[in-house]
Amino acid sequence: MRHKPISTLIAGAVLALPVAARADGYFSKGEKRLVFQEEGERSRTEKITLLSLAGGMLLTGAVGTYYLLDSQSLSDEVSASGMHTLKTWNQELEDTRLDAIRSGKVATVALGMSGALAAATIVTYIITQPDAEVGYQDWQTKNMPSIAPTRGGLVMSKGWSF
Amino acid sequence: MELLVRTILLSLVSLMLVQCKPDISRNTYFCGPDSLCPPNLACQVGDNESFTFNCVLPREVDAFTCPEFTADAEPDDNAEQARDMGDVGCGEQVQFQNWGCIIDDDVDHFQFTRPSDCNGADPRAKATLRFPLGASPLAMELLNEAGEVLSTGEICTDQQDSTGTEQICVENRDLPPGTYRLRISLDDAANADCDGACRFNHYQLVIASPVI
Repeated sequence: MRHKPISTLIAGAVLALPVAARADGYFSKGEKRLVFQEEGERSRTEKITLLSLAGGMLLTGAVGTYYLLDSQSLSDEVSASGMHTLKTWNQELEDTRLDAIRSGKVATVALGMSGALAAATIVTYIITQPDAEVGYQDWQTKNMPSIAPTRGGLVMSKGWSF
Repeated sequence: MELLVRTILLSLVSLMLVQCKPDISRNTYFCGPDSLCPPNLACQVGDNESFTFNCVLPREVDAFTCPEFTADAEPDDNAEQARDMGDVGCGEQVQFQNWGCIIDDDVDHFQFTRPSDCNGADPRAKATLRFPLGASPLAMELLNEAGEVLSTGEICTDQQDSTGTEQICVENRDLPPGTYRLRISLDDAANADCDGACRFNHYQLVIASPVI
């Protein structure tokens, strides 16, 4: 695709959210049509994969956080340093201590999984990034203003040649 | 994407916090039954000065021995050798000033006398034996002069008691004037002697004759 920005002026107004509308339209010299790019769309499978990974990340993150807080709470119940607690170490306290350790292990595993899923989500997000698609809009010989639909908005353009 | 990055950071921070585990220092808990202590700590069975058994570092644990003064009452292994605590009059109480000490099959005897019947809202004879939970539990029996068992001690530890000790009591409301004995030994029925490793304990004894 030829690219001659000096001889071609692109005038466009994006009538949508800046993030959503990414059409970069321009007129190629000699071509009687508007050329523009817009983001491609992920396939359904890719979307499902991404949502699954993100959902798993959030779910395991929530589970991990729950057990993390539980572990900290139980640890606080039995932890002691400095002053004597004036308590007798009994089976109930021992069970609480073991529960704290168990919850801590669950939290570690769950948060580790959450981290791994987060990384997988990011990687998947990147590798499934669709290529930009090139679109064309027939050039109006009378050089009338053109409006082209884009994902999340539309592009209004008009060209001048020098 | 920004949300994902934040989530990852949160996860990593959380993972670091997970490292927080119960942290229990020495001398912060009394030993439980069967010398139970938090991991990496051991029951200080040889604590003959403070009448308590604390959870300490294993290298701080001394072998248990009865304090020298506890031998003053020996021999008291049978009724004839019982240590005489004297009269316990109405509303009075006597206390064995020194701690007693029992190791293995040792048995201690104490003798007291009720000089007269008591009047009051709830006159009774009461003996209280207090000992640390960390070693073998003790048993106490009330005997008459003929050596017959009149009552057997039962656990009477106050629920609010947080001193790491257990109490057993013998209480009798129909004890006529006379001479009686208390027999103290390890409570083998309690089955909490660390598989034989803590078949010993200290104790304090109080004999009273409350009337209310």
